[in-house]
Amino acid sequence: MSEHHPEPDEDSRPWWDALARHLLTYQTCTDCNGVVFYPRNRCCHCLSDALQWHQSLGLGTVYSRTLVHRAPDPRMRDQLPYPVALIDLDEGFRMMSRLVGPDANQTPIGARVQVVFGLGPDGRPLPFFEPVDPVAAPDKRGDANGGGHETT
Amino acid sequence: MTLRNGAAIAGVAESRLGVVPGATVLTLQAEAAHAALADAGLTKSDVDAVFCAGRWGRTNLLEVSEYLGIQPQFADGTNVGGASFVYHLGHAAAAIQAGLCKVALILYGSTQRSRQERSLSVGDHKLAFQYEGPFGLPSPVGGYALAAARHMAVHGTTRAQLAEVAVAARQWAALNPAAYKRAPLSLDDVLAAPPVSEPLHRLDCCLVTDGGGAVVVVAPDIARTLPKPPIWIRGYGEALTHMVISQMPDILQSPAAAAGSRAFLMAGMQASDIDVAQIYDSFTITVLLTLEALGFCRPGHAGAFVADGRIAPGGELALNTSGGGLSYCHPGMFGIFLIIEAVRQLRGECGPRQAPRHGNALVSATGAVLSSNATCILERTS
Repeated sequence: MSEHHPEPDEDSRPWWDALARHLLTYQTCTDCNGVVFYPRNRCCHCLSDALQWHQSLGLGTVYSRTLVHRAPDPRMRDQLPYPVALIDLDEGFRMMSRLVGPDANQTPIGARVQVVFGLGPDGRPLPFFEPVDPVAAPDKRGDANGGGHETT
Repeated sequence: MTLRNGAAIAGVAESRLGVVPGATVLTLQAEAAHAALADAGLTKSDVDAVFCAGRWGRTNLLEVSEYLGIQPQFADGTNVGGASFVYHLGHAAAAIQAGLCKVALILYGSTQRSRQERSLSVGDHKLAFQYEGPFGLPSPVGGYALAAARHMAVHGTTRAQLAEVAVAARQWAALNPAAYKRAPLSLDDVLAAPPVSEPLHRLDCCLVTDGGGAVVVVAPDIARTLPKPPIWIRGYGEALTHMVISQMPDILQSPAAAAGSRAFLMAGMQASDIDVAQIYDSFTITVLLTLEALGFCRPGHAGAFVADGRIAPGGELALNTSGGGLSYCHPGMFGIFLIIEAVRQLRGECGPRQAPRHGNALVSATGAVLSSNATCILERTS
């Protein structure tokens, strides 16, 4: 039995709630200015509890990627092979995601990508990434405190 | 403070390995414990400390101690993945040096193959896993695949260079009667194996076997009274950096760099001084990253370093002489088997696979998804 569901907790519930509204969020520490991801109740740089939520612009770079041929979750078997990636968001945090779009399986390390929202195996919204159109958005850098930008 | 020459390994043994359908995790550990104590010239009543880790049981230190009828005065169940047993070795040496115990038994056993317990799932998508589980990365292979992909993109490493690690392991395994896979393996075989999580294919991945092992660590005054030459701990270091792969600070910088530099500093040695190396080969990429982290070659150069038979029998560096997790055995966690082979090499007990120079050996074990590493330098003479 490998059909697991995300289990939101007091750290992560704001993140999942924002995702449900198609917003990708992260935290920063107002004491040390560190960027914090995944969500925590204490800063992983200085242990301060002075954490603030921000909305990410959803722009980033593929740090690494792998084309998966063996699904750990039976609900994903019909998607094989699928690309899982680590994305470095411009605001300074890294997260795991899926690459999507017509060229997803060929999207290389170093490619500029932007968030798009799709559905996870249990129907919950998840942040995926697809290549940025190089003409429409030439390597646009995000604002470190980029709250208020719509990403969808 | 140093652990140098503060403790010695006196006995090592495997249990039955490979496919052991009737066994339990406890029978395998009892088997290995008995054999390792016999190897040391000691008996169960001499044991006053127990160390173990495993993927079985709720409180496996309690369960295995009870089964063996040992009531240890010191115990440690540090679990940081497959590296745990090299952590146990360092922690046993520290406890012995502090006078907390005299004879430590390190144990491992697994029946994951026969019981078909192996899974690519990370389990419940809670705590840190809620941010990775929903994306379908098979674990742990996917984490190592992400490291391999970046190593290839940044350093130009090729799949054929990764495959050299698997081919060399198989050549060593052919010389080891206890190895599970001994049939000849070519670079083309490794390259043509079905993909699991690209760029890693089936034969870039460790075996799935049953098996157990045991290691006996003793105080110096006991070591000097035993029939076999003691194997001394000369240097030890450990490091851990993360649990989930997305939190790894630099996916090409193994915690073996920090652990190894601590071990080398304690030993007063460097990579070029090492005669025999036992490096955790959960995946072919693990060996490349660890060789770079320990300074056997420059960062990014491990692909070229392992090529041309340099780590195969007769090559420059006697590496993973048992056949490793790729060809000898891999019962879920492999760290204890690195220690077993290093001790046998240092004693000169390895027959056709004996390394010509075997005055010292390095053991470097990596756990979880490049998350933890313990590195220990052993030598024959104190």
